[in-house]
Amino acid sequence: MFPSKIVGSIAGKILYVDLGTKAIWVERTDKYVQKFLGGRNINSFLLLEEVSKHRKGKEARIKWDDPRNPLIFGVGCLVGTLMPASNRVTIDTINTFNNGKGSANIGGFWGAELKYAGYDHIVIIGKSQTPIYLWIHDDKVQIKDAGHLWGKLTGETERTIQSELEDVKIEVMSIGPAGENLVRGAAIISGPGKSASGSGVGCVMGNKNLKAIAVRGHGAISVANPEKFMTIVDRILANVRKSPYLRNWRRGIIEGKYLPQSPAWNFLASYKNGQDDFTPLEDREKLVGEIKGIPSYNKKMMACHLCPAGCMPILKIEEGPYKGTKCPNYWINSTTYSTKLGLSDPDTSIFFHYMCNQFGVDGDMCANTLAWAFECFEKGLITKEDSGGIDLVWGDKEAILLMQKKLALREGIGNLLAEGAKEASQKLGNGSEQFAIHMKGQDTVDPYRIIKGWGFGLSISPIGGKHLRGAVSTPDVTGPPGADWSPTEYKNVPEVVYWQAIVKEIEDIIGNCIYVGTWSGTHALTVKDYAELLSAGTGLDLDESTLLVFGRRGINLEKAFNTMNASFSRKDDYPPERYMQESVKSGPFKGHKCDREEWDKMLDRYYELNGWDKMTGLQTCSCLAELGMEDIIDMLPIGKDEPQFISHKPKNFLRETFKERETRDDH
Amino acid sequence: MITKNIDLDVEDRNGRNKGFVVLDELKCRGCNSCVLACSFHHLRLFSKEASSIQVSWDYSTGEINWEIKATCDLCEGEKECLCVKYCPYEALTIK
Repeated sequence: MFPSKIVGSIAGKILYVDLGTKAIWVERTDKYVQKFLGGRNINSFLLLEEVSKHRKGKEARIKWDDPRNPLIFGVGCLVGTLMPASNRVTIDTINTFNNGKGSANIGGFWGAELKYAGYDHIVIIGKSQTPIYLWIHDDKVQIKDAGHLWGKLTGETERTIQSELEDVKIEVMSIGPAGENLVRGAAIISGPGKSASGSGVGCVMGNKNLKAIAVRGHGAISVANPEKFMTIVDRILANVRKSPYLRNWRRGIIEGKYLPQSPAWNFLASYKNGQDDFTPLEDREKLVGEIKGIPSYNKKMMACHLCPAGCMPILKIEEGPYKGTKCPNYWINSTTYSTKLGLSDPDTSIFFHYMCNQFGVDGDMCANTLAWAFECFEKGLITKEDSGGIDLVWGDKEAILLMQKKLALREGIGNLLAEGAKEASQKLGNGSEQFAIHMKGQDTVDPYRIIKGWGFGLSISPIGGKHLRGAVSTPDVTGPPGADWSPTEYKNVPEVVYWQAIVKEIEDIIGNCIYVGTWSGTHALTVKDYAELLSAGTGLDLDESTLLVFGRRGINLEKAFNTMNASFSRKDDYPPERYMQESVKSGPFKGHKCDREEWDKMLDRYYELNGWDKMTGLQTCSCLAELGMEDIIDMLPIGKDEPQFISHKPKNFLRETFKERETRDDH
Repeated sequence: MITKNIDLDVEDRNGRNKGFVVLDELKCRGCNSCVLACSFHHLRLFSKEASSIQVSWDYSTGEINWEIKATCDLCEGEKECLCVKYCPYEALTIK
C-alpha cells in the first residue's frame, strides 16, 4: 500500500476490485492528479481508459451490461477537509439508457469516510456470480457474501450491514430491489435518503451482483497549507452566512420557494407528463400549504457532512396508511415528482419519494415513466387489462404507489416500465412514442420551455436531461456573476450554460455541493475561491484561469466518451419533441415553448465556445490539442487533419462576455 | 433551550476550571464540522478518530448522539474554541 497522504488533501490511492476474479489491488492517484485533479474528472478519464481498452476498432462499442463496464466511485479532492459542504461523490459508468457517459452524484457521509479509509476512487470491474458486498475497513478490503441481503430495501440493507459488522459508524452505499431487478433507472442510496440518481448507476451495480459498499476509515486527511486553507474557509463561511438563498435552504420547505404562492411554481414544475408547465393553485395549496401540506410534516432539519446549508428536512407522517413513516425528504424533488403525476396529496408525495429511495430507483425516472403510462392510459393506448386492473388516473394515490412498486419489482406492466419511457414506448408502439419524454434516451422530469437556460442546460447535458450539467434558473441564484441574461429569453444563454457546466465540473472535482456553490446566489463561493482552496488544499499551483481549463477537460472527457461509445452528435442535443411542438397552456408563461431555430443558434454558439464543430457538434482535434488531450484523439472518429477547425479563445471569451466580478463587500 | 449535559470540566494549567462545551440539540444538524475542527486543533489534520468530539445521528429520525472525550482542552493555544467557531448552526457554547 502507498502512503496515505501524497498531495495534500488527496488520499493517494485508487482501489481496484475485479468481482470476476476477486482480485483486489491499489494504484496511485497522483499519476492522474496533475492533468485531471480529482473527483469526476479522474472518474471520467478512468472510464474512458477502461472502456477503450476493450474496444476492437474505432467502431466498436461496449454495452452497459457488459461485465467489463467499470463502475467508478470518485470522492472530491477536498472531501475530508473542513471545506464547507465538501461531501460529494461522483459515480461514473456506461449509461444504461444509451451506452454513453453515465454519471450520478451523491452527498451524505460516505465520501468522507472513504477518504479517511485512504482512497480517492474505487473502480469495480467484472461481475460476481453470486450476490456480494464490499467491506472496506482502512487497508483491509473484503468481498463478503450478500445472499441474505438480496431483496432487502436499502434502509434495511444498511442497518443489517452495520449490525453484522458491529459498528453503527459504518457508511453504506447500497442498491435496493430496483437495482437487483435491473430497472434501467436504478439508483444507489446512502445514509440519510441520499440518492445517486441518473444513468442507471444502481442498475450497473445490480448487474455486477454488488449489493453494497460498506466503508469505515480511521485515517486523516491533511492540507498542504493548513493556516492559509483555514483562512479561506473562514472567509467562505462568512459569505455563506450572508447568502439569502442559503438562509432559505436552511429553512427547507418551511420558508422555501415552494410555498403555494412562490413564483418558482410558475416555471419550475412540469405538470401531467409535460402537458403543461403550470400547476393549479389548489393543487399547490394541498401539496405545500403551510397548515396541512408538506411543510407541516417537518420535524427537524439536518445536514450532510460539513454542510452549512443543512437543507434536509426530516418528515413524519402522523396519520393514514403510511402513519409512522419518518424520513429525510427533499421538498423540491417530491413536489417535482408529484406535479408530473398530477398528485396533490402530501402523504403520498412524501411516501412516493421515500419508497423511491427504499426500492433504490431514481425518482425522476420513476415519475417520468409512470407519467408516460398515465398519459397512455388517458389516451387509450394502455388499458386496464394491461395495467393489471389499475385505473391510471392522474393524481390517484393508490395507482401511483402500486405502479411504483410494479416498476421497481418488474411485476406485470412494471417489466415494460422498468425500461424507461423511451424504450417502453418503442415496445408499446401505437403512437405512444410521442408521450415518452426523454433526452438522449434517458427519462427527464424537468420543465424545458419557460426558463431557456434550464432547458438548454438539460438538452446539452452529456448524461441526458439532467440539470447538474449547466442548467441555470435565474441570474440571482445561478450562472456567472454579472452576466447579462434573463430567464425567459435566449440572449446569452449558451455563454451562461457554458460557464455553469464548467464550474459544476470544478465543483465535482472538489466535491462540494452546488447549493453552497454556484447555486447559492453566486456570491458565497466563486471560481477564485475554488482555485485558492485547491491550491492550499492540494499544494498545486492553481489560479482561476488554470482551474477553468481543468473544468473544460472534464466537459471534453464526457463529450469524447459519448462520441466514442454512443455516437451522439448535434441531433441529440435538441429538447424532447413535445417541448418544441406544444406550448405551455396556462399560467403567466402561457405560450412559451422551445423554438427550434433559436435552439439551432444556441447550439451553434455553444459548440463554438467549446471549440467543437458546429455542423456535427463533435470535438475538433484543435480543441483537444489545446487542452493537452491529444492522447484521446485516436479513440474518436475524427481525423487528425479534419478541416473544420474553429479558432477558440476561452479566456478572452470570459472577459468579453461578462464584466469583471464586482468586489465583494467584505474583501 | 434544551442542552445536553456533558460530564466534562476542563482545567487550565493552574487547576482552575475553564468550563465545558455544551450542545443545543435543537440547533445541531449533525454535520460533523465540530468533529473536524477539533481534530485540526489537536493535529493540524482532519480526522474523526483524532477528534475529542464524536457525532452520529439516526438517518431516519434525525436523533443525534453527540459525545465529547476527556481529551478536550478547550482548544488551549487557539484564539477561540474551534468547535464553537466552526459550527455553522451556533449549536455549541462554552459554559
